Amino acid sequence: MNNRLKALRAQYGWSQAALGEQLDISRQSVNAIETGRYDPSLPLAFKIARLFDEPIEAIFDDSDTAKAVE
Amino acid sequence: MSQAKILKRYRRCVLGAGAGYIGAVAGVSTQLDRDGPVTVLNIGLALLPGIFILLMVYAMWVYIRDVDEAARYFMIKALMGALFLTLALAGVWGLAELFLDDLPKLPVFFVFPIVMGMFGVFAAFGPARKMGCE
Repeated sequence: MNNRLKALRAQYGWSQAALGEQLDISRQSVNAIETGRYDPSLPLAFKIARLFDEPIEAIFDDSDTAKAVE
Repeated sequence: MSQAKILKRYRRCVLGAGAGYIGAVAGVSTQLDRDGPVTVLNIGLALLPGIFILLMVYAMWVYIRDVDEAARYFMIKALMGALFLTLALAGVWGLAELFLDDLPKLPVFFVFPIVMGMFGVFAAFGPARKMGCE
């Protein structure tokens, strides 16, 4: 799953550590999500969406999964 | 508790218990008379390293319970890799021991250090690398 987390974080001028602190996850976990090594759970995805005040689908792109379902 | 504190607590507990385990194994193996009588003291001494194993397992359980979901995911992956490989090795070696009398017997004692060693390798070089749990 692709995501815009890195771009959003840059837009807000936050470091990975600062974002991690706000989400109560480690800097390494923020990095794992940004690089696509880990897809966050639904509660964490909602938390990220709320933090950036954007809908989940505007941050996370599941077009690959959606194609597989179709 | 912050993620940094959770990781710090985990490292402190595992390293402390690990050092205690090595010390207890070394101390008990040199001090305990294997041919001596089975006394309460001797049983207690023989079980002493086991306390540190329980402490290490407890520290790992607390870490997996408290750490954030991404680190938990990678740590469990590393742990599963270590457990499955050790199970396979132990099963294969156990079968070979059954069929070949001259094969050296591998004490069950080695299972824990092998799992921990493999977990360390998987955590440091596998998918969990750079997650801070190595």
